[in-house]
Parts: sequence; C-alpha cells; structure tokens
Amino acid sequence: MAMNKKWTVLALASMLTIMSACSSNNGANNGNEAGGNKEAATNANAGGNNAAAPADTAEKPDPFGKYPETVEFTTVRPIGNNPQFPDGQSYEENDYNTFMQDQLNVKPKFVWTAPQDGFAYKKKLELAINGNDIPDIFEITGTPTDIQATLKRLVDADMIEDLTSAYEDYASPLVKDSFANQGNQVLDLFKIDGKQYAMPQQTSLENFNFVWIRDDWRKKLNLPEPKTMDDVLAIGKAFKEKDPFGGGKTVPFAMQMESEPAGLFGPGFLFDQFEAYPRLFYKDASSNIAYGGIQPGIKDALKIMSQMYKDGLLEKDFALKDTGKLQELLASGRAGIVGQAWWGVWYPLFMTLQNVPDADWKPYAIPAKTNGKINFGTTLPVGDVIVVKKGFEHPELPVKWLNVYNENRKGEFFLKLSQETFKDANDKAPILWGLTIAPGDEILNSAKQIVGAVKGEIDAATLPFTNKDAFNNIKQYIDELQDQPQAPSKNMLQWQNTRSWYDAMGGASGYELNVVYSAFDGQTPTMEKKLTALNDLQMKAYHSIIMKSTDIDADFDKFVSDWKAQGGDQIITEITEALANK
Amino acid sequence: MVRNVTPGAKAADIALLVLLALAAFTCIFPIVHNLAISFSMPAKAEGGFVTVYPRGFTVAAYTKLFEDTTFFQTFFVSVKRVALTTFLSFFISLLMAYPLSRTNREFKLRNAYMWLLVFVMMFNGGLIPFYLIVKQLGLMNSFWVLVLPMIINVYNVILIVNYFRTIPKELDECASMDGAGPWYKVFRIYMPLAMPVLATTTLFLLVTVWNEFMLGMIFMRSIEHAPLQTYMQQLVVRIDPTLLKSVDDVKRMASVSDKTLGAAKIFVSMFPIMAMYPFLQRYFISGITLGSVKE
Repeated sequence: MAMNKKWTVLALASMLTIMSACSSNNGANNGNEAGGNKEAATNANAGGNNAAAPADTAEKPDPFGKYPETVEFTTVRPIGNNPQFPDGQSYEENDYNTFMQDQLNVKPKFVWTAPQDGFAYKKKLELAINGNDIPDIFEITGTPTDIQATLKRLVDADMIEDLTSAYEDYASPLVKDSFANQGNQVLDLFKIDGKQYAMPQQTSLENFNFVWIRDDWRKKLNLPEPKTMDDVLAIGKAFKEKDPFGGGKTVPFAMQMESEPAGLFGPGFLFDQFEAYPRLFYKDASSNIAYGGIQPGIKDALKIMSQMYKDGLLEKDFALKDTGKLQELLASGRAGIVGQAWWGVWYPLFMTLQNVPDADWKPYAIPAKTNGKINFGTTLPVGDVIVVKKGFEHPELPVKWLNVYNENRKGEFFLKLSQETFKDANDKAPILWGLTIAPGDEILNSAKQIVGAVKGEIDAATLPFTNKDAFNNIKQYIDELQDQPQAPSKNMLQWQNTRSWYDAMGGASGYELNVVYSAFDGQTPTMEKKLTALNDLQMKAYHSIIMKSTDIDADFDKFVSDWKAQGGDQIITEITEALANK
Repeated sequence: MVRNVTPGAKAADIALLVLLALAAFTCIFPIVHNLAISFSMPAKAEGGFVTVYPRGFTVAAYTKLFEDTTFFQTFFVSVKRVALTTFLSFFISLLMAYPLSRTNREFKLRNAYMWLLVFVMMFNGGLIPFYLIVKQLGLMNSFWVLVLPMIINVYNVILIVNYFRTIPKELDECASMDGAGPWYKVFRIYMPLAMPVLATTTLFLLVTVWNEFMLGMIFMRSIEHAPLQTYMQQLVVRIDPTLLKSVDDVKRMASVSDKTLGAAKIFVSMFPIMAMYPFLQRYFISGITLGSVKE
C-alpha cells in the first residue's frame, strides 16, 4: 500500500512536469510562430509588389484600380452543402472569381473551405483564430453580436488591420451611398474606438410580415379578400367551420412561437397590427430606448391570440412547434393561414402544391388599425463581414473587391452567368465574398418597378436587367395562365414570381411603411448574463397568457414588472449609456 | 426447457417479453421510418405522411445519391480510415495491454504508466491545444490526422488488460517452461485466448471511428478529404432561417431540405456498420479457455 502511494505521488509529479513543460513549450512556440508569420507575410509582400503599390496608392486612390502586379493573398471561404456545378467550375475556381480577379489583378489562395450551414466554417475559423493561424483576408459569419465579439478578440490580440482609411479612400460612391442610406449604422456596428475594423455586408430580405392565405379555399368558400385583421380572423373562423381540408384536420392558423419575431410562421403579423415588436430594443417617439416585448400593444395582440386559441383557430400544441414542424404542417396542405415574409412561396409554401395540386397561396398586406401603416420592426440589415490580417500589404483590397462586386452584381454579366452557365447549379452565384451592400429598400423598389411595368405604367424595356426575369414570368402568369385550372402547381416558377414580387412586395408598396430598426445590436454586460433568461420568461408568459390566462391584464402587468425587475431595466439603462457614449 | 411454471412466473415472463419487445421496437423504429422516407416521394415525406412504409414509392433518392460524387469520395475516405485505424489499433492496443497486465514485480513502472493512462482518459487539454499540436506536427489536412488520434482508446486498453489478467497464470508459466518469450506469448497464447475481448474492443472502435466527424471538420482543407460522417453532419444540421440574407439563400434552403435524399444517405452510411455486426458476433463467445487448465 505504501509502495502504491509512493508511485502515485511520483506519477502525478512527473505528469505535472510533463504538462508544464508542454504548456511552456507551446507558449514559446506560439510566440515564435506569430512573430514568424508576421515576418513571413511582410517579407513575401515586400518581395512581390512593395515597389509598385505604395507609390500608386499615395497618388490618388482609385476604387476600381487594377493592381499593376498580381497581388496574391490567402483566404478561407464558407461554402454551400453538396455543391453541384457545371464542369470546370468550383467554389475555388469559377467564372465569377475569374472575372473579379481580372478586374483587380488579384489571386486568392484558399487555405481551406468549409460549409457554412451547420457551423463548420464558424468552428474552423474559431480554431484558426485561437491558433493564430488566420489567412490574409477572411470573412466572419454569424449574428452581429457574435461577429462583434469575434472582432473584439481579434482587435485585442492585435491580429487585424484598421480599415478606416482604406474605406475612406477606396470605397466607391455606390457603396458609400448604400451605407449612408442606413445612416452608416451598419458600418458603425464594427467600429471599435472609432476605428473601422471590418467591411460589413448590408442587405436585408425586407421581411415585412404578410398574411398568406390558401386562396383556393377562400374562393371555394366565397369569402372576400381580407382588408383588415378582422377579415383575416373571419376567414380563419370560416376555415374552422367549413373544414376545407376534410376530416376535421384543417388548421386555420399555422403558427409557431419558438421565437416570436423570426418572420417565419410566427405571430409577427398580429404584433405588427399594434406596432409591437417582441424582441426589439428601439428608440420610441420621445427618443428613449424602449423594449418592444413589454409594450401594451403586445397585450392587445395576445388578447386576440388567446381568443383564437379558445376558438380552436390555433393548434392545441402550437407552443411546442418549431419551424421544422411548421414546414411539415404547411407541406401537408392542412394549413389555411400563415404569417410569413414576401418570399414565402420560394420556401416552403410551394411544397403544399406538390401534395395538393389545386392549392394556391396568396399574400395579403394588412395595414395596422392603430396607424394605418404596414409596421415592421427589425434588426439592422447586416450580414457577414470581411477583415484583413495585421500586416497585410493591401488592406484596401477587400474594399475594392466589394466595389467591383456591388457595381456588377445586378449587371448583365453576373446575371447571365447565373441564368445560363450556372442554370443547374445549386449555388447560382459561387463568388468569393459576394457581400451585397445595398440600400435598405432595394427589394421594395425593384417590386415597384416590376409592378409598374406589368401594369403598363413603366416601359418594360427600361427595366434593369435584374428585374426582367421576374417581369416576364409575372406578365405571363397574369396575362395567360392564372385562370387555367391548377395554374399555380402547373406553372410553379411563374406563380412564385407573381406571388412574391407582384402580390406581396407590390402589394406592400401601395401602403405607407413604418420600419422600426433596433437601436442597439451589440451586447451589454447584463444582456450577456440575463437576456436568455429574460427571453425565456417572456416566452413562457406569452404562452401562458394565450393558453390559460383568465385575467390577461393582470398577468401581463405581472410579466412586465418581472421583466423589469429581473434585469430588463438594467439592460435599458446600459443601452442608453452605451449609445450616449458613442 | 422443462420448468415448473407458476402463474406468477409466467406473468413475469410475459411482462419481460413485452418490455424487451418495446425496447427493441424503439431501436428499430427510427431505422424503419428512415428507410420508408428514403423510398417515398419528396412531397409526401415533407408533408409528414410517412411512418413505417413508403408513400408514393420511388427510388429517385437513391438514383440522386449515386450521382453525388462527394458522398462516395468521403465514403471511401471513411472506409480507408476505419480499416487502417482498427488494424493499427488492434496491434498497438495488444502490445500495450500485455506489459500492463504483468505484475509489478515483472514490470516496475506498470502502475506509473497505468496512472498516466487513466489520467489522460479523464482529462485532456481541450480543443485548442490539440489544434496547435496537430498544426505543429504538420498533420493539418493530412489523412493521418483522421487516424492517429483514434488509435489508442484507453478504455479499450484497460478492458484488454483486465481480460489478460483473468487468463490463468498457469498457462503463462507453462509457456515459459516450454521456452516461449514475450512476443511468442502475446501472439500465440494471449491474442487467440483474448479474441472475445479483442472483438468487442475492435467493434467499439469501429463504431466510434465510423461515427466520428469532428477531426475531419476541423483539420481537413475541404470536404472531399473528410470522412463520410463529416459530410453527413453538415447535411442533417438544421439551417437557421433567421440567417437567410438573400433570395438565393431562400431558394437554396428549399433545395437543401430534401428529406428523402437525406434519409437515403443516412441509410447507406449506416449500412457498413450494420453489415459488420453479425460477423463480429461470433467472437463474442467466452469460455474458450475452459478445459485448458485442470485445477
């Protein structure tokens, strides 16, 4: 026994030595390596193009300037799953990238690629950052909060370049105007201490909530098209009573509440009616920070939902459903009404038609009773960002790349490429860093043009190339196809274009729009600690109010005071401070 | 089987049977369900109409699967990897287990090694140090990074060590008397006698290696060089719809959510392991040493 103990101690001691030796070694190696990498990078660049570049850049920055000598850089890229491309095309080598490379005379070298879905890319990048093994230029993906956290780490470790002057000197007028259209708020998200460290994507799907209705059922039951939310509820009740699916299986309203505001099968269209935005911190009329989830408008919407639940218009277990379950419900053809964005027919509503050939979904924009507008609360239209490794010779390269891309993305060359060469590919634009920088109302404006052309108010020949395809499909559907039997399922593409561009966005453009942006997309200390619990509290309170509350006013007031006491007030104070310090 | 059957015992038997049948059903049902989906029409599968038999029978998903070159590239990476890993692991575990099964008298540092093994079984440095080590060993994007970290499974080694210790000492002594050295003993005496445990550990490892996806995801340059499960993992992960940024994303989402193709892939990827089980089963017969020693 004594013998054993001695061995144990010895073993443990020896392990400690081994471990500490290892870790100190690692540390030293890391340090060396970081230094070595930097040196290597500068050396390589010095050898390659140092001579020409600085003289060139010093004179006058040209946003589209071609480098006199080929600039090689390393990068990584997120890709789609199971890519299927025409022969000779891949994520690494394709006609898009070739075009971009020729425009700027640059050459990316891919260190690795990884699928974006399923977070493989994110995970790999995380490790590369922690292992101090980052490429020259790379894209960071995720939610704005995630990206900000990663950016902060990179800046603290002094791993990335300050892009402030690169942006100022090199961004094209189009790019600058697009950012300015949103008050430069998207750019500001990625400023640290006043310095711009990343070039963000600025794009939005403009996810206004539409009420999508099974129009074949509505017509069959001789109901008028809805103009107000009361009309929508009446249609729901009719679906419940007349049971158009049969066997008592009709679900009048398909709805999930896994998360309230996602715009995907959620109750957002009801909240919008009362100018209530469940997950948004925004500036109210008096410029104070307000949280949407505790506003009285929410209570009014919950009252309606509670009544819907009592009347059997919602499924008994709707609170347990997620988007996957909703997709199944919608595909099965049992659902009558669902809240979704304008692109609903592209996913997943078209699936209904595969099971029910007679089906037809039609979107309706319902202005709010409170202010007569189409209300919409959303976070800033921001996506991925690009950053540049510290010491890379051409920090302006990604800015130029985005200039060229955004100048050309709606042009004939790219669109033809995606419609012809990449017709059967499952990623129709496999361009490196295809980060769109667009004004926040790009889709709405396109829709206006298309609708105008279809109605003959605008000469179709003047439509920009990007809208011609949708226009042709819609024109064909409205002029020839829509009165034929089973028109939607037999002419899926024409139907999808019509319902999304013409009916949804075109319909919305006829109303006054009220878009409320979040005032703050970062994370305060209390948010980090308590927001998850608060969101949980909110969700549970909403569920219980809808499903079993007898005194909604009292229950909602209790939820509001709980929310404030459990950290909500603290968060609002912190956000106010953070914005004041900006 | 002649037994005195009391009504109580009979009832207990039936209850047990029902319970086991239920347990078996919960294991088999997902596979049957998956198989049914893979042979159904996509629209029926999306609509949730499929339970245990296919609706709108079609082999379209399998036809599509056979056109997916990445699937087969990664499939062969997996096969190569599993074959190599299990082969190497078999011998290295054996060579590790033999000395560790000796007494302290024969092998002075035995306990120290044993502790070290148990220690690394329970604690490890985490992902980032592991990443750095792989990088510094120059194993990034090499096939070997899929194999080497999987070879030694301490848990399996301990199983083998314990099994060796149950083999009667007299056998070992007999062999020594007849002039057998350690190498001879390992491969001619211990290995054949330990077949049941070796088969078990090999099977464990086989399943673990076949299902492992992290190494491929983290260390391989692109998906064609990763094992099948890395590829599969990316197929079955649900896409977060709040991250949709453009109409192209939406359209891609529609094409990605092809349930039947996913189900076909899952079934084909399960197949090798399911086919392997019956063949390893025959080694799971203990009692081989019975009769070799008379006490």
